[in-house]
Amino acid sequence: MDCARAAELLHGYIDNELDALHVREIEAHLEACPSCHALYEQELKLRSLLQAKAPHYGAPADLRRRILASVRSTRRARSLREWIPTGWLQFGGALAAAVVLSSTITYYSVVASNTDPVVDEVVASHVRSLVTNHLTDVASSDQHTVKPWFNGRVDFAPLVRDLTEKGFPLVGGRLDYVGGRPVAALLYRHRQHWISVFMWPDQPGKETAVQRFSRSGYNVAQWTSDGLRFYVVADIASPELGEFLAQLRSENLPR
Amino acid sequence: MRVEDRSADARFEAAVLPHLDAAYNLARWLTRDDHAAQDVVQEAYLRALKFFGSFRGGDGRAWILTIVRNACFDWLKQGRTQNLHEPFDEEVHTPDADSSGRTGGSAAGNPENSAASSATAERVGVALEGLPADYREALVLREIEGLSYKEIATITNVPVGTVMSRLARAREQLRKRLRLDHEEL
Repeated sequence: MDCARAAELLHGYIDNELDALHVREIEAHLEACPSCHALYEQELKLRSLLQAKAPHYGAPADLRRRILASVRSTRRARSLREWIPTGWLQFGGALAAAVVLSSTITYYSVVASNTDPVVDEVVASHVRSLVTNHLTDVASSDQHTVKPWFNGRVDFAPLVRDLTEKGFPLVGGRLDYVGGRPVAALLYRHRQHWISVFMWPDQPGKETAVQRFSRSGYNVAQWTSDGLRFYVVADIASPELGEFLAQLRSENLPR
Repeated sequence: MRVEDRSADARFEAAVLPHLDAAYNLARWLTRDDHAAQDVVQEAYLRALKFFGSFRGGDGRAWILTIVRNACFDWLKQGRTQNLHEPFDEEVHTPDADSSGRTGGSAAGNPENSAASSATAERVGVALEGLPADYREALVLREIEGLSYKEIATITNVPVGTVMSRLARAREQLRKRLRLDHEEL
């Protein structure tokens, strides 16, 4: 390898982009060639300077608001034009329109067989938490930190489990509002995906089986156990959601 | 069809809105102007909404950054700034830097900076802004956003080998601008 070639491959080397063969070649060259080695040291210095000092400009809050507003107004305009309700069912009007449509359009009823409006609320809440980066109010993977955080914030003891070893680490919890009442929302992660678990009190002692369906591209599950109503929303595939539900519901849980 | 539209709308927000910071950062470095960056990003998100039907899932970040990047170059081509390959004129532009809001490392997100290190950040920022746009975008995507060559190649629409050679030249120019070869920073 000559120095000109080394000078270029050096960048792939610094950036961890070379295959093993080229890594061995350039390492051999750097060991043998003092001037290329000096260049390598300079490149490392430049990189650490850039990474420490070059500013990362965050989007101004105002821009975030403007984009959300313009995206939604564009969508609303388009929806009215095409006489289709919006996919983002946090607007009451759109929600009402969707309920009407679901009973009038035949094929639509397949997806809307679960007309439970709470489903739209929890899906919207899940997406909103991702979009606004408001994932958690209490960020902790420790269930003994997250669970007490809800004391005095909700009038029940939420189900909080550490499923890290099962591949679903706890990320944290937040207070949310569903059906006009404060509910506990727990956030779990599975690889790059987020899982929201919403819960609030149901009739004491009530138990129902798990119902699963998809809504707006998200997989949703709902059930009642030990007097708590549960809704799970995630963009993970159905088998993985099944695994998560099995783990979450697996044992008698400490309360 | 209509059911698909509904779910496409929810997917749009989930796929691209979480990448707004990365989008703005790229636009801010390419336009070198706060207001222009905001306008360009907003325009890019509306374009993205319009063409979301062509997004087949996968890497939402690369997809939206491609659109933002193209919107930036459209903006640059409208003659509001210098030619793509022409180096930035520091003599002319540096005095504007502070008033146009470029605040170096002392800006939002780097509270730990002392005055001295913020002066270094200022130098780094000015030097990076002085690079030609295609070198600048490669460096920003690599060093500030931490993207891979493959992702950068997708976003900037060039082969992976070109990404590497652009980074090589960008770093060489940046070292010269910072006079790293001669002094410590």
